[in-house]
Amino acid sequence: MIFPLHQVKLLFPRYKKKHFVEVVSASSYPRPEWFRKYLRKAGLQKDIEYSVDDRILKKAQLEVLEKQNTCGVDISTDGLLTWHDFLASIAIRAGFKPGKLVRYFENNLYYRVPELKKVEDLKKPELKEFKSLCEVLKPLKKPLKAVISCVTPFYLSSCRDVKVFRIFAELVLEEVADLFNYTPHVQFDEPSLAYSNEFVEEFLSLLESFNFKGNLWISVYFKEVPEKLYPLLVDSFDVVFLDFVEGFEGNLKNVEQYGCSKLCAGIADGRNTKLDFEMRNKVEIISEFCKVEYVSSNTGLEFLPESKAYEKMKTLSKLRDAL
Amino acid sequence: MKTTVVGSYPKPKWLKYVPEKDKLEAIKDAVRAVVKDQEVAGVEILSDGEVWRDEMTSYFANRIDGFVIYGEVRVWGNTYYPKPAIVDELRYRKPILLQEFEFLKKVTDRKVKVPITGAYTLVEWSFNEYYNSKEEAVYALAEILNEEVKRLVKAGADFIQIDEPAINSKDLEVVENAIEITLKGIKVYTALHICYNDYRKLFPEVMDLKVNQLDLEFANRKFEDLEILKEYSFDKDLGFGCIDVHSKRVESVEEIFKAIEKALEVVDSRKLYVDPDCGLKLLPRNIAFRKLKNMCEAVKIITFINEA
Repeated sequence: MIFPLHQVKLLFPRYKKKHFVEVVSASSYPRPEWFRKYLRKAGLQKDIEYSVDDRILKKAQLEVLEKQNTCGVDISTDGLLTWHDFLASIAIRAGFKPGKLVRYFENNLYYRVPELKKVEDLKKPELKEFKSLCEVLKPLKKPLKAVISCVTPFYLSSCRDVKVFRIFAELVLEEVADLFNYTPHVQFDEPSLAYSNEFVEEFLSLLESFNFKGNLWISVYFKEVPEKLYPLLVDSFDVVFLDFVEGFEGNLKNVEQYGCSKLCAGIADGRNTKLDFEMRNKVEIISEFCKVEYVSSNTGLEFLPESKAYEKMKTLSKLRDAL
Repeated sequence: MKTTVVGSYPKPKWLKYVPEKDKLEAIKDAVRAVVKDQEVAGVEILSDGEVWRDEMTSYFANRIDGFVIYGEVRVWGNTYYPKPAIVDELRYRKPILLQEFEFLKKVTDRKVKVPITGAYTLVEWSFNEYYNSKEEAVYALAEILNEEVKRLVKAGADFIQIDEPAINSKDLEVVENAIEITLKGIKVYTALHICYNDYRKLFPEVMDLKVNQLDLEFANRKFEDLEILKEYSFDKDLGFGCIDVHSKRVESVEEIFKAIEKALEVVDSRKLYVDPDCGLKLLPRNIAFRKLKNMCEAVKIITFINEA
């Protein structure tokens, strides 16, 4: 499906130059209501990753991009609109099968735990819909951020074999390398790093063997990054995205002790509708130890109703303009 | 052993086409239909299928002062719910479930249970804009639920089930206090329903909660979690979820029979309440009915064998 450039340009009437601080979408954005209805009507409650009509999906992605644009986001995402199992969707794309239903961290969200039947099932987990959207947006030179996950879905799956993890992680990293052909920003969403260090060493050593041509982000949320892990993340990633809502004190201590190369501060609460009044203060406090390059919500926005998600990002944009 | 349900049951399809002016009458008819389904299937302790409720959180939030609803958020897959937000002090407005219960008593002679979404889950599944801490909100809500439970018991309810699917090992003490507040002054049979949780993290402490019965989901995880109960010498009454409510496959009588046998390795038959994993509302009605029927059939056979 080809979208006429003039139509796409209408969605992004103002392309702003870089601000002192940029507003970034963390990862997910709530699905448009009509898209939810479409999915329901089509009976696509499960296994939709590759079966949504491309034109419909593109329309939903562009709508979500437009929302992010109008509320002033500088670096948007595609909203992860077909990720039925949250971060575990990556493992399912990589050949894992969806298994039993369990709670997604401490949220009222449930996902099917990815289970690997046999190693031979593993394949590169392609973000086809993201790449296809980037093709549409290419003439505008408006970068999107790709989101992927490696440790999390595996950590939460039934499989615990480190050799299998290496095979899986390499496939994910191959996809990351490919994603850099489409975007300068690829983010690993890894909340589980705040809870467990399982496979972390393997993951980081595998990273070293790849030479990526863009900004590799790491986002850890729901908590602060454990102190031992933090410097390793700073060494391995270009941008470290920290949760300054639910892990403010711990993460502040991290940046105070170890600094940061490029910091994305998650300062708007992505899990509560309450408006955030302390954001400016937080940026000023963090900036005493490390320059804040990007601001965002601490988590993806699918935990919020759409109206509140929009409001949160709009507030962040106002803060950016005031800084 | 007894057969029961967790709470919700698929609503008759025609209910959504009824105009608003006829809604009350239609809901009552729908309750009659749902109760009949359960009776025909052979369920001994039944519910009204939660036909009155649109959803287990917002139904309560809409009837308690202090909540608003901004919009829907995702629960899983492509399933969404209207997530409430606490924006003011929570206050008891008027009876929440009393009308439902009184009507149910009129339409069946069988024993019934009243499922109530617990204070912890209601807070966990809401945004909190007002209270300084989760605990504060949970305890305020537990007081409101206590008021409601007292009215239900006064009206004749003798089986109260608190639904706490959001229970979390980190907050077990909060849940424990909330249950105590909710059931303060209550002397009827009580159960706590938990599902899709990591039981390994909840045991053994969860056995200390002051309820008569723990009702747990087992079928979705192929009954592996029964091992945990064995490990900790489970000593409460057990609500044994043996029907997968997330699968349209109808479990055979034989399959359920074998599952119950496993449960009997953990508790005595007199302490066993056989039921589905969770509410049945997401299933097509005919499938929900067939699942219940097979479940009751399996219990009948196993009871007959044991007695023989």
